[in-house]
Amino acid sequence: MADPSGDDPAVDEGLLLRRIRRGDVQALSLLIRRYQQRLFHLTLRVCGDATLAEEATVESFYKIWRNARQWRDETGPSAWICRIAVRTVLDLNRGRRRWRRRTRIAGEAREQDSASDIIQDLIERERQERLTDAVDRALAVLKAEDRALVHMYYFENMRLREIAPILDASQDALKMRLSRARQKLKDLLEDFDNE
Amino acid sequence: MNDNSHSNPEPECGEPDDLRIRECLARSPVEAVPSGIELRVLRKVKQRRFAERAVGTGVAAALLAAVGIGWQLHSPQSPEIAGQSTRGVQHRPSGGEPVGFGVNDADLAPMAASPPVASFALVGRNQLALLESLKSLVEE
Repeated sequence: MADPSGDDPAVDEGLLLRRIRRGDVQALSLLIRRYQQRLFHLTLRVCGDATLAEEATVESFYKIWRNARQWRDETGPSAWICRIAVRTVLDLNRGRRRWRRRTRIAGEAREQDSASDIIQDLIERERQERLTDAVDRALAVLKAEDRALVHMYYFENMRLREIAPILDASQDALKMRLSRARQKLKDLLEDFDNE
Repeated sequence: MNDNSHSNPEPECGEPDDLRIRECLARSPVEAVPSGIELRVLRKVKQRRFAERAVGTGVAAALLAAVGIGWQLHSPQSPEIAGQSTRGVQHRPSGGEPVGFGVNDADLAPMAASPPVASFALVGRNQLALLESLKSLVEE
């Protein structure tokens, strides 16, 4: 069955970028639908503010539209797109000292069949909130660039060689940064883990 | 990109802590993506296209006008127009420089000897100023 969003998975990002270069707005729409979730989560992780992350996501797609001619085929389209998003959110985030997070939880409330389900749900929610707080506290101590690194490495399961061109850093440098970030995260998440 | 599974962490960084951190972070809730991102981007694109077209149309119209003026001034087949421009349009309020788009006889004199090729040197000072401003507009 055809995808109702009109997004054909067979159309790769490279082809979409080439179409965007020629001014194809429909290709831009497809790219937005395909990447908006990823870019929003990435930018949110870096800045911790949903409003700013939304702004950064919109600005990133606009820059992709304007600068599509600068994309070279040898650079992976995905890396190029993420790189624009990271730079955009870092620019917008510059000057903000405090990292804060405004979370909008996705999903709908489940219907509970029984009282035990309700209690179970409350316990789970409470645990989720504490986990969110713990993750927030842990991420807050990292630099913005390192939050981007942690997000791509841990949340998107990307490899360092894929992250390197996005963050403009060598794999060795990223390894060092990741090691430091890991240590901080480990210490801060330990309390939660032990509960 | 996302083809790496949790059980296959980066070999050089795959420390035992990784799995624990991964697991902990993976359980934190996923934020909802705000609706309307696509709409906002497309609106910005539309505005930019509109602005580009407006500037393009303006520049094209100005260039056409400039070419028209240049052609008028240099065309040897229209002495009556040249005459009109000196007699009708030219205005000398105090015997000084010509005002508006009028040209004086001194401006027209070299045309008799030169072919109808556009040359800025032959155009009156006011026209030259107009062309200069158009040139800077196009460069912008």
